[in-house]
Amino acid sequence: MDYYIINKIQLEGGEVKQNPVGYTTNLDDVESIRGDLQEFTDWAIINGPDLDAGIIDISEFFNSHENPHQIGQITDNIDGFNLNEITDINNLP
Amino acid sequence: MAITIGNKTQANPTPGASFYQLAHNQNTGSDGLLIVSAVMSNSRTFTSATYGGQTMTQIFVKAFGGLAQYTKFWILENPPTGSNTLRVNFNGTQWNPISLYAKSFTGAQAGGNSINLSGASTPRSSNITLSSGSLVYAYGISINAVNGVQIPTGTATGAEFTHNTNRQVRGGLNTTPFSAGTVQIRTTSTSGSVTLQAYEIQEKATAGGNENFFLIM
Repeated sequence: MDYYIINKIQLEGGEVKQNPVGYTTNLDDVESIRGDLQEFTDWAIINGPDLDAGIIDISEFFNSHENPHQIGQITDNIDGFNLNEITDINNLP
Repeated sequence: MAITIGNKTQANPTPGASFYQLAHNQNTGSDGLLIVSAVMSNSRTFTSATYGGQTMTQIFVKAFGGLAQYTKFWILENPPTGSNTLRVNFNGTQWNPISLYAKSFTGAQAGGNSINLSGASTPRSSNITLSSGSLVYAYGISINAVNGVQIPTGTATGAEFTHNTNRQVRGGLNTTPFSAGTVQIRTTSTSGSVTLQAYEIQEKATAGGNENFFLIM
């Protein structure tokens, strides 16, 4: 069985951090958060050169968007990960 | 001792940082081996990888100008077992999605042969010389969908992963040990060019090999 680990992308101390918030085995749940990541990825790619040049700051994304979530990894063994199963994909921590 | 295939972790995230880290569970057992492949846009390069705080050994690296991609492959012999942090570092903040694949083995050893070819018209094939009992992990990168990783050529492997790094990446692993000799490995894409990267996971050599011996008293 594949376990999909969901990360919350957030700004901490001016840096982007990704912390696992739980896991799901439900592919519908996985699909439902793809839009979250796409929005972040699209924004980051479009603004990547300006981000690198220091013209804009990643905080601008977080000032105007909810903290996005993404599938941080997929694994077949979560022993020792200390993560709970996500029961409501619409109310992620 | 035959190779035992262990746990797998794969990821296709957007890091937004100068590193990405995740947990991976290395199986218990003697002669552990962890392999890690990574692919991303060549806007950045991979610098190093650690597992459980131990520095992994780089096997190969390649920058693909036409594909605007960059790949690196590492291994770690006798990694710490259980859940540990796999961390891959970049030379700056990476805003593009990356491909990470980690696979554990026991009964294995380092020292296997590898293939590391740039893109060329599909199918992309190359020979690799293998020791008895070896397995092979291979992957390909293309602008178009990578629709096959054949180990050996003519034998399709199930996708270990399919990732989008602004290019398409697919990996495959054969699960039946090879006899000693040379085999051909192949990647295919739906059209255009595709790369071929591969690594031989060797069975741990036993002391004295498989030869019979006599003790003369």
